[in-house]
Amino acid sequence: MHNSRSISIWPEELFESKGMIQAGFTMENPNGERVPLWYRVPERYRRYLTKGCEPFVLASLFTAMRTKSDLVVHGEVSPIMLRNLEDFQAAWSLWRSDLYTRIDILADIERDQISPDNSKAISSFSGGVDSCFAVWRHGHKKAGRKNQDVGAGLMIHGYDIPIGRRETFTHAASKAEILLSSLGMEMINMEINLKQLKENFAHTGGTILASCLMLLQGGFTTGLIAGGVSYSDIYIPWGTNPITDPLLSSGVFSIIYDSLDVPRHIKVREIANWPEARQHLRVCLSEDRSKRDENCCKCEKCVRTILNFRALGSDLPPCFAHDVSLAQIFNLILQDVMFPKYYQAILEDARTRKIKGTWLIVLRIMLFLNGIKLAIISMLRSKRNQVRRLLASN
Amino acid sequence: MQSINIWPQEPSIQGEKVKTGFIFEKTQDRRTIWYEIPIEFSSALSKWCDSYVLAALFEAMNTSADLVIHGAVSPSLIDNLREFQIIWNAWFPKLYSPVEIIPDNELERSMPKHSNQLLAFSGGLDSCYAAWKFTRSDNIHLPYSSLTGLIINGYEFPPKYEDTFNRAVDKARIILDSVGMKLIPITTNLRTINQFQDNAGGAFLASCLMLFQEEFVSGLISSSYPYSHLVLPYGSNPLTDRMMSSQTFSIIHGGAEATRIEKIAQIAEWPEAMQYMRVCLGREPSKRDNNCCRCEKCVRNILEFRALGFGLPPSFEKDINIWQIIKLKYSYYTQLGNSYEDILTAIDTNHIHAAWVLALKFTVIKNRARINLERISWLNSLLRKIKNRLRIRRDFNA
Repeated sequence: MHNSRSISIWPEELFESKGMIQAGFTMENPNGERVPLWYRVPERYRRYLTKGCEPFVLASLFTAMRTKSDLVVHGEVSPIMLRNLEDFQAAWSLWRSDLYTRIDILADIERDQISPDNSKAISSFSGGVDSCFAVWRHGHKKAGRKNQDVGAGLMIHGYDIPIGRRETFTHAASKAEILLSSLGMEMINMEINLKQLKENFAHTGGTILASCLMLLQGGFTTGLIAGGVSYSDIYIPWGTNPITDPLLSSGVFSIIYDSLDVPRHIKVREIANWPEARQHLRVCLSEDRSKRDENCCKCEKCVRTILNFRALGSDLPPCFAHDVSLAQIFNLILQDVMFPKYYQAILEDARTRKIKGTWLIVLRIMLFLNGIKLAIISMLRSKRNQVRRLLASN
Repeated sequence: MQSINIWPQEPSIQGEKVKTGFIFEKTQDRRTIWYEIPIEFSSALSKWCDSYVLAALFEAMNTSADLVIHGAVSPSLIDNLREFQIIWNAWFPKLYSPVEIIPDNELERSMPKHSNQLLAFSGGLDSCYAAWKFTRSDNIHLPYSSLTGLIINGYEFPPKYEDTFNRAVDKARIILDSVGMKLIPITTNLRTINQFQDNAGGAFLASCLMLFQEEFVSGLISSSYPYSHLVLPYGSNPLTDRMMSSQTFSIIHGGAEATRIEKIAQIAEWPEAMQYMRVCLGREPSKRDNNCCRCEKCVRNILEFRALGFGLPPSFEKDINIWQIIKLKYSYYTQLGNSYEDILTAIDTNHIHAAWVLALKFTVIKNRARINLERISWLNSLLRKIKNRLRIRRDFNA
């Protein structure tokens, strides 16, 4: 073993309650504390639930890496996945060497599960632009050789909508169901309490999604994670990314980071004529998480998506209750160097389609001001890091 | 749209060697691309054209020419190469565009029953580390039964330097023998169709590895850069290398978990590697079977050993002096700059104090300043103009 500390994973028996079937495991921390972690899906999906412990390994991995504890798994784990996770850990322990170290994963039995007879895929599905585009493209067989036979979308309660907000989730799920059923796909809703581990969500996003998708490896052979970036602007380290996401695959279940070949503004363009998406798209990242079943039309992401539609010459889609004002555009605060690119793409779209308007001038001013701000922040950060390194070396 | 035709050739025996390859045909340009291997490994040669697709892909993308293959290609490889092309197109939209791969026959090979693995082995630090790592008995979760090295003539320098290559093979063989690995030497003229060599580096290696898919299930490419200093776009990288895999033959990008300093620390007690490791990128290709101890890469490697508190390894004939360190000039900050920052960190960690450390710190600061200045494009162009003007005046005076 690499480390003197270890975390034990004890898989729990399935049990049924109120029409939901619960799978899960107990995580026993080095100090003896036992944390029950669970996943619940409607009873009719019992046959899809895997007997392997791969989902539990993925769910616990960052906690183990952060606490420098080996993972001892009292069940079966895919040897291919264990091999992949060595590279996965290597990447993260180098990207964030201040937080994570490599650990050993020791399973009672190293064996792949039996693959289902079909070769169907399941896509994580939030109802946002990225996931709508992913299912729409595969559903219409527009991905060429990369087409997947997507049978279902997985909507996870406890991921972006907190587990306590049942009404919010039910409302969002009903929208997702309409979107997916219009493509002939099933919607599977899953409840999880994995966020109880309180890891940095910006890092664990991919492992949580992969864990939930892989739990259903009895019914699917591929799990799609709808990518939020394109190849020309890969952002690392980030929870889901095209370098480490495929390393979450097992021998019988592949994780694919999907749709990287298409930038966000083109995704919006592609789904702009899908009536159900215009009606039920859900992009909001409002600070009030209880309201995320509707688009607030105020947060940066809502404003950006509305502008995406405007730049296409499209009317305001019904999924947005009201339009944005010039003041809202001017007051936008871009948090990251990635964001200006999204707005540049909007300007490019508007130019291509010869769209005119005051809002485009305001958008350019906003971009200029935010550009200066981001450049100063970036310079200060770089200086701060240099000073830190200097202090650390002395 | 124009197209490139690939016509596979039957292997032919020439003495103790077997020559295989394909005819590359693009409008008026028709040439034979060949791979030559020892006859004892001929049973590993695949009849599929997967290897040839990888060989010609960058040229096809660069000239927007569809690839027409007159033979069988694995459909899973074509699927993966679709994504591969999209990525290179996103990185270099003006240089590469996605093309169609049109084989006469799309057929998946049957699943091999063995699990032998091939490692592209140059005898340098990265591949020595990979060989060392993947032959350790304590390396769990590696489902490979045996590892064989593949050393390529025609990759770092043209195939005409046969004597140099043979001497490099002898050294590589001693290194690999000591860990129970066989070595396959291969000579190829593949470089003649890949103009943009840095970007096509991964595809070149994958092409040579995949040639042997009858007896191997995967080919390992040693990483040049660690995850912590990932360089994208770069010819061989953890994102696109694996997209050159088929269902029955995987291309694996290995060793990105360690920086060069960490790699040296791990293999420092491997006497054969210390004696015969070959890292040189000296100007004279015919001498690259030995470390020149003068080029930037040799100097950097010697500094890496020093930073860990090790003496000069026997693979370097002579040590470097302070003047060589001060004179160091490296061009790509993100790539080489990080290596020098790693050396400085190791020096601090190992509490090494010496005059050469001061010289190195001076060099790093000097290069950092120069590279930062070069980033300011208008200043760079002004300096270039002044330099040119001075040169003209000097020439005139002379």
